[in-house]
Amino acid sequence: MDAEILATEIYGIACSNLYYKKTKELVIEKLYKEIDRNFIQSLKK
Amino acid sequence: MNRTKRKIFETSMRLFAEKGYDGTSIEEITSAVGVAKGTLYYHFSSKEEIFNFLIEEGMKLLKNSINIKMQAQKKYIDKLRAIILIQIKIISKYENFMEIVFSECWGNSTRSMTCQKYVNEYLNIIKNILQEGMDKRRT
Repeated sequence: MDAEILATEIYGIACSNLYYKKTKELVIEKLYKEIDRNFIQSLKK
Repeated sequence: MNRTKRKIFETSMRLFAEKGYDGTSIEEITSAVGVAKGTLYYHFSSKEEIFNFLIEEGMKLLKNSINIKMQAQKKYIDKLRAIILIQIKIISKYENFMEIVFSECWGNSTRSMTCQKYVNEYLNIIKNILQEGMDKRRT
């Protein structure tokens, strides 16, 4: 794992979250759970 | 920040997000805020200064929020979770600010360089947390 690349990926998540907010209703809890399941959990492996 | 300065700050943020920095004039800002140009120039010497202040204050809020949350977390995974959650909350509450950061970060203008500098500082915070977590897993 490259910490620098991962950091930019996390920043990229913010960008995609902004796009999501502009196109759909942003439910914080729902969005957070999806990111946790699909991104954060994979870092634990 | 006094009330007028805050109103200039918030209105500028909205206009920069809606129309872009270049598409927003001082006249539009003063008209939307309901103040004379002299009043605006009392608080900010230029449109660029408003922009720099906006970016600085916004990134300060983001970094401070993260630093506060980091102190409560021991595991690096929980620190990353906290960062993700803060990002989502900032986007939810300060959508205009995030829109400006993402759109103005490109190019070689002084403004873009200012944006990039703050984004790099933010990325370094995340990178250090990740690196710390990776180093701990190796030991």
